[in-house]
Amino acid sequence: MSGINQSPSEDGPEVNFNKETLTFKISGNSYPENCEKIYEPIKKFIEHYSESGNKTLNLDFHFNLINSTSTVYVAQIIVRVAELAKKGLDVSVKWYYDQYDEELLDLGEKLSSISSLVFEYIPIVEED
Amino acid sequence: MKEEEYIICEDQVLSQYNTIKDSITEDSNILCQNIGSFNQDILISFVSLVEHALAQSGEVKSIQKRLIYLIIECIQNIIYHSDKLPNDAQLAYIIISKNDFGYTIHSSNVIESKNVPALIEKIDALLKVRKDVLSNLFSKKIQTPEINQEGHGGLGLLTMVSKSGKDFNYKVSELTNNYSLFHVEINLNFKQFS
Repeated sequence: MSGINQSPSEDGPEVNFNKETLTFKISGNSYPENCEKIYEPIKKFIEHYSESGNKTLNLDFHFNLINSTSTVYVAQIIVRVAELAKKGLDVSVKWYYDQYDEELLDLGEKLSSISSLVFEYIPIVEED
Repeated sequence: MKEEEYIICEDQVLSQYNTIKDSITEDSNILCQNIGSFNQDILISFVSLVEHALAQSGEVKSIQKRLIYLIIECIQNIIYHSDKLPNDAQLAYIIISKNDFGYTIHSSNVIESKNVPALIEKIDALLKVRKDVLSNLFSKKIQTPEINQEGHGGLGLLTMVSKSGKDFNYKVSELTNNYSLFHVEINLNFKQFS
């Protein structure tokens, strides 16, 4: 499962799974040329997550900028996680957003609504 | 595309690009512009340049974010949906300017004329509906999220119309019998944020 980790780039997110805390985190910019390369492995990881015997999954989304295609992939991931939650996986979702980024907050709310997963919304407040 | 047809297209695209630049009045600033081919590296440079310029000018953060999101969608629309030339380049341009009322994005790319009716139908359908309906449409699309054969989510136009607050104007100009120029003007008015 550690093979899922990816380093960030200017247009691609950092992807990290912490085996100790069972926290899966996607953070940074996500407007790459080829979203498939980044998100297909994540989808597979999520699909097979329960096979590892894990009963808990903590999802942390901490996007800076996200394009529409990445949004569709994130929605696919959320839909799959919601299916696992229905089968008994204990899921928590934290959705970080820049306090001024209403669009990103709105996206989190939409993803929560379509999946019926409860999101915790965490505004990032910039210090002067 | 035959070479002579390409030259006609290039001349007309350049002419329209210059006309738009000339129409941008003296009290407006051009933040960023590019004509010719677009790729992901150019997009990354645009995002970085505009982010820097907006931060330097002390622009309101919510406006900064909205403008950058729109630029990403416009340029990726050019990259993915322009009809490719034999040398795999695109014939397109983008101009981002600021005036007293807000920001304007002019984004144009060449498309095959046979694809124009379907594109117009799609945009007109989006422009007809109210903002809240657009928002619901977006939710519906991500409820059954699908990636098309080209590896895209197919939400670019919907995102552009929605994030523009529906201040989205488009025009299609015939360049030759086979090719047209698809032009989008998005106005991000400061009033939307007050």
